[in-house]
Amino acid sequence: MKVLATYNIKGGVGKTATAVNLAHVAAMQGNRVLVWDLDPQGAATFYFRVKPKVKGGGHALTSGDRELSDAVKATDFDNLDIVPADFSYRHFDSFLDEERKPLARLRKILDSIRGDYDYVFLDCAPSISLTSESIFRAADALLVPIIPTPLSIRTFDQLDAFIDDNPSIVRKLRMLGFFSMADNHKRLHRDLLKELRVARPDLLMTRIPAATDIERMGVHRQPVTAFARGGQSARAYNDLWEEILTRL
Amino acid sequence: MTEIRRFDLAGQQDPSAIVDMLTDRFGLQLLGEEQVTRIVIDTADNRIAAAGGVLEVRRSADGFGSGSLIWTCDGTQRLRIRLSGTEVPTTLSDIGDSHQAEELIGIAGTRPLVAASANRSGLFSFGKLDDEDKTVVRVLLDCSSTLDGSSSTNTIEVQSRRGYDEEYRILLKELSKRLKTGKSLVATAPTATAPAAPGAGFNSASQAWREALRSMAEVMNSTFTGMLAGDDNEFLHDFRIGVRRTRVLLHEAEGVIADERRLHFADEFKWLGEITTPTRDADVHLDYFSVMAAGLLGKAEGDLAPLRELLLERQVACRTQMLADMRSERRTRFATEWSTFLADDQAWSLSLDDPLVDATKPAFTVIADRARTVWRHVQHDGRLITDESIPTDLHDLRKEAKRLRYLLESFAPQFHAKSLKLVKKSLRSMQDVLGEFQDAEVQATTLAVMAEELVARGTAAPTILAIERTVEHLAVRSLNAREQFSARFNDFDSRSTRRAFKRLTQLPESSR
Ligand SMILES: Nc1ncnc2c1ncn2[C@@H]1O[C@H](COP(=O)(O)OP(=O)(O)OP(=O)(O)O)[C@@H](O)[C@H]1O
Ligand SMILES: [Mg+2]
Repeated sequence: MKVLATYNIKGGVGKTATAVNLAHVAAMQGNRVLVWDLDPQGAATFYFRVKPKVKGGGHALTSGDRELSDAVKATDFDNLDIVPADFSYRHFDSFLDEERKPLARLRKILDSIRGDYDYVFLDCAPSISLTSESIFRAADALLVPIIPTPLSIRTFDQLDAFIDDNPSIVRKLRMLGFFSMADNHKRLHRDLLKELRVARPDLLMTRIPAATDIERMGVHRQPVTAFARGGQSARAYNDLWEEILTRL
Repeated sequence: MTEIRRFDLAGQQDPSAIVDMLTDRFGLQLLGEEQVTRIVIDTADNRIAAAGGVLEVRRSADGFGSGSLIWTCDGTQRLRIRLSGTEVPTTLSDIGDSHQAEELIGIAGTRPLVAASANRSGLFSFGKLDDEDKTVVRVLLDCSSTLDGSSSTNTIEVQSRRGYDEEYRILLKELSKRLKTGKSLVATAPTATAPAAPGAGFNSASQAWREALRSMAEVMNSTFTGMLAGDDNEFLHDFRIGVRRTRVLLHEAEGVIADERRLHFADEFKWLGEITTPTRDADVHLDYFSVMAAGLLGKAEGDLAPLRELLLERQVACRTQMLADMRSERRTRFATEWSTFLADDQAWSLSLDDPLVDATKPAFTVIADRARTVWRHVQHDGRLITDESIPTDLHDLRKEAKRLRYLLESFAPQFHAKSLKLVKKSLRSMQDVLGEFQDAEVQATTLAVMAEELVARGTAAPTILAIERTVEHLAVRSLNAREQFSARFNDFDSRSTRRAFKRLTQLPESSR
């Protein structure tokens, strides 16, 4: 089981879109996939039409009162399940803090389902916190969407640096940055993308274009790879997934 | 983890009726519908089935696309892979290395795969949706038939979705109750292990057309002798209805019957119609003559005697010609050809790669589709009718409306009876005024022509005057009919009739 967390300190960069679509792509390929929506706002949960509610709240999960597997809901897609968001997740930090080894806690919880899934996507809220550090420990890779602007590259580098500086927190976490919402009509995006292709070979090659069908996921309440499976966006997510597989 | 319960529905239940029941009674949403051919493949020693799964090649029944390789197990589609060619895979070498692919390879290994069975299925998937439009229980209706159509099964499979056990139990309870006590839906004990051989008891379009054409052939055969004898006009009338309905059926059979045949038959039936029209018209004129004569209240009746003679003369001439045509080699050859075609299983048998795009689809889908098109024509033409419209426009509309009615009547068993009744009532009421208008117009024209002929023959003035009076009377009738038309059409075009028609021809909301 591989744990992939979509993460960025910045908000609104396409984390949730990435988690939802890649999870769907992976499931369609015949993998058993779980999405855990850790963002109390519950965007991923919304996209899968699931009610943002976990019985007993996040605390029941962190404290071990409730098994993670009991909170699992099937999505409308085969091989694809979700642990929904819960509004109580906004206190996740303090839930974790109550535990003896807070940073290892998330990993421990995930261990309980290790045999059941091939890929677990953690969709995180934008922040750096106890929760995010716990996530860094639990994850095998961070999928970091980056909007092609100089500022965004800087935040990615900050994140990279943070992880490098904390080897004790994070052992062998892969940082997989890729461009998200890339707009070919914007000169800035175009130029930067060209430049970075050469300067930053660590970033993934595939980029997710800025596209209206991705925006429309909220209308369909489905992954774009489900309702526009032949489209350019769906293809981009397929390519991204293939590329990620080569890096895991 | 997924719980599954299967109900095998007895016999020849019409899939659309089952679909209606599931949506109307149980509030399920129809989420998808596929007409497919399925070839189940397995190792020679049936390892995949033994492990509780089904591996199949599924292709859209219209023959397009190369299809998918699908492995289903425990109610979950574990693996679905688009096939690149049209070949049925003989090994599992190209299914990738995903978890499920490896699982499947673990079961079947590298053993050669062979076709275990094949059938044709209508697959309907439903969801019990919660208020987020999320599927909380899945229901699959599988209507399968063998490729030769000799046997069919309808199966409902209810699947729990993880995290929604409560909803599953509630629906199951409701379904079990209904399926056990229902009149025609008989539940059998759910089979725990072996998944159903995939399948659908649907009636293909091809089967439905064949049946409808056969029953029209019966009408024509049973009236044929009486028609030739000529002592009752109704035989000819019924025979012609058989011909006209058959023509409508053939016209609407594009994609169901090969064009080469279809167009040829259509030509021959058109000709059959043509050779009977003059006689029918003569019959109608004579009938009308009696009505007209009665209208002239005895006194002037005698004045019409020359007209009556002329009409009778005509009728005899027409009949003689018709009988000659009926005995012609063309007619007898065609009669044989037609009955041979209807009886020829070979000609109607469907193969996996039938080029006819609609033949293998479920009858209802195709019929509803055709009916919708004709409906739109009627609606479109009807809306264009104004007080200034020329008689031909009304005549054309009448033909379209007839077409629609014939189509609905020919396939009546396919439709929801109550909605059909409603639609037909409105349609008929509109047709009545169109018919009245048309009859009045035709009679008037005929009489005008006859009056001229009688004048040429030197017939006395009273006869001509009596005819003229009748023509005037006819003009009033046609005017009346015309005035009534818009109200009748508005009823046909009303929201309630449209809704009834929609119910008639559409699978529920969600399938659109
Ligand atoms: N490639 C894209 N093209 C166009 N719009 C996008 C794209 N990706 C995401 N969006 C839209 O941008 C908004 C933010 O995307 P998303 O929710 O995926 O970002 P996020 O990083 O998860 O946000 P948050 O930090 O709030 O969790 C959404 O409305 C989404 O529909
Ligand atoms: Mg998000």
